[in-house]
Amino acid sequence: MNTTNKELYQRNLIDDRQYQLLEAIRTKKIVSVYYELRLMLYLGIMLFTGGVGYFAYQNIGYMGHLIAMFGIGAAIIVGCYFIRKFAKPYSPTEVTVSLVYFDYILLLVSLLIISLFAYVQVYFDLVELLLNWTSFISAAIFLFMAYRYDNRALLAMAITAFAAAVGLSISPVNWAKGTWQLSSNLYTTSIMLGAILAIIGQVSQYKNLKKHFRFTYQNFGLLLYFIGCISAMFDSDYELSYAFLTLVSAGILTWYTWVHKEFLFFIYSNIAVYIAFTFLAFKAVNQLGGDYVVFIYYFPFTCIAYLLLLFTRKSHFAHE
Amino acid sequence: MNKSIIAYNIPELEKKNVLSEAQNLFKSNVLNKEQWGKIQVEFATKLYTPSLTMRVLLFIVSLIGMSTIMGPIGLIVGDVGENGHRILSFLFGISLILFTELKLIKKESHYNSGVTEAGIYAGLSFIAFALLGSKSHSLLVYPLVGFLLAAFAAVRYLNLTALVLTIGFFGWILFQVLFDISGIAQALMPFIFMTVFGLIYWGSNKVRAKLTAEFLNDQFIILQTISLVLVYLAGNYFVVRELSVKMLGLTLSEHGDIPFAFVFYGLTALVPIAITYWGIKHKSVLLIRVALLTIALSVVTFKYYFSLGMPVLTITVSGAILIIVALLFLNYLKQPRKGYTREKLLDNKWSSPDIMAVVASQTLGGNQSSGTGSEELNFGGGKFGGAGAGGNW
Repeated sequence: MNTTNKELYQRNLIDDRQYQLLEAIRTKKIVSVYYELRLMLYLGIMLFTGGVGYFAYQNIGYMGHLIAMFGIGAAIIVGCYFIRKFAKPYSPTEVTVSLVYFDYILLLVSLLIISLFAYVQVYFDLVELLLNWTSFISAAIFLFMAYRYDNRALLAMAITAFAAAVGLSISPVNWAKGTWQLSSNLYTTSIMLGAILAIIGQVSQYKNLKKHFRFTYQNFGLLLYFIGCISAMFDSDYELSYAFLTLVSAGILTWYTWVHKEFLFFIYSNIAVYIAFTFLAFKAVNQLGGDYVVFIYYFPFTCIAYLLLLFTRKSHFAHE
Repeated sequence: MNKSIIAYNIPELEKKNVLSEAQNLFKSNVLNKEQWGKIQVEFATKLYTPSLTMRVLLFIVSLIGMSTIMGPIGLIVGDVGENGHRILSFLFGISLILFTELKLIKKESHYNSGVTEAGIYAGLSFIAFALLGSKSHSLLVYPLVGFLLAAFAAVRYLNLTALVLTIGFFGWILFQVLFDISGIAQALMPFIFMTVFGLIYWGSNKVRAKLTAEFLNDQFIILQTISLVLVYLAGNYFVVRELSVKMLGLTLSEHGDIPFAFVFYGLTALVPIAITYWGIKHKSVLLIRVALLTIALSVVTFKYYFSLGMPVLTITVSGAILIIVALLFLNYLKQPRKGYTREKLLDNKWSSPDIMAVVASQTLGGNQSSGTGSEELNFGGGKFGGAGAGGNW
């Protein structure tokens, strides 16, 4: 029986030490439970902070609130002690910390700070006063922690919290269910915020300021931008202008992301271009008083033509 | 192994497998750049696989293209009646499969390119539609046809989604047969399921130990995981009770319970413990993962029937317990013990801080729009993190 490890070893492609390690893994002499333990920790944090956050809004009496607040406060202090002990100084590049579960302590503490903040609001009857500021303050806390301790999950939470503060919900989960259309006139906000986030991502890259945050910024930014554009196309009074805006901007992004091989963003742009183009085609057929039967040909032929076009450059996107 | 069963060229598949393993080793910093470069040259394969995200795009575009092409064909041939449509659909399905196999796979060496998957799914769906179009046959026909078509795609094209469907259809057939026999067969259904899928797990373990084809690893992982989960679910109290009421027409009085309830309570509690024990003893990560999943399901099952009426407290406490247990293990495994380590040996193909960031933003709060009711605070996104679990294979 010739395994991959043995074959690589026999062909002198890996050295003794590497072969020993790989064989130890293959024969289960050493087994890593890194991902399993981290998943447990993650689920624990999700349930615990979710439960704690919810408590604040349940009336569990005067003492209960005080005890809970002290408990959360104590947990935050313990967590901060750990964070200070293991954290490295701020740096604009990627920082790796030796403690395997450092990220999770960071997540837990940040979420607990937000929970404590929610408690304070309820306890001192500040809910109405701060209603519009809660999400901004959460976003600011997440953002600070994200940059100080170099954490992309916190950055993503900061962005979603900020979007929530201006009334937008960034939720691919909901979009997948088909509820992606924005209500009222939120599409302008969505377009603006999306564009700003995408630009921040680009600036991070050029200024070398947390370069690796670029993806998170641009992923949310482009999603917000395109969702805004497409909602506006179907919803606003200036549908044609928005359709052209979508077509042109997504067209430019298609080209840019293709050249830079950023294929996820390429897909987003592609879908936006196709929707805008199809929308305009419908409008044109409508204007010309034409027959909608052309669309029975339109979908298969555009898709197949696009496939053929893509495959003329298939080595450009081969797996590396 | 009979080589002609699989549509792909086996030596090429083996090279592809070495390449993707080596790439993972390179990303995990086990191999250096020079070694990875050499391996890329030595194991160069002509199989063509686009990068992951492009596969998604190609899949979507080809699926839309292939499934809408029946429109123009229908327009051209005109009205041919219901049977005519079914024959047309059958022929079109066959030609899609032939095109995928002869042109894409054999000639252009596509391997999981997105287009191949679309071709196979669309082709088989058209064939299934043609075969199942009329409603005059017994219920067993649906899973049988589905099983045969899915098994064909799973074996010949090594398609993983088709493999999942194959197992699903097999379970359906088993259920339908036992249901039709009725009487004692229905009563024994949970035990028959447990035995059958237990045997499948056991058998696949034996086959895997003997088989040298490492490119089938993913297939075994899926087959074994699903079999084990089904063994557990077949004995789970909630599943047995609900299915007895809904599918088998059992009526329960208000304080009544299903027959032999204690057996199923016992199984719900013991099967996860047994899987955990075997997993730790045999150092099988697959078993440990399934064990974690089944433990979670069992806890939910018991909480469902013996609730204390304080869901928020339950959630908070179970979260705290999970955190504490995980931290204890992390500290215990600071040094490797009994062959287990808390450190990362190799990167998981699917893990990335960017994906983690998206998952966290969807599940950990900060996502609620301002002004929403307190009801939704911090509960945005799935509660039991299906996302987190999915990313771990």
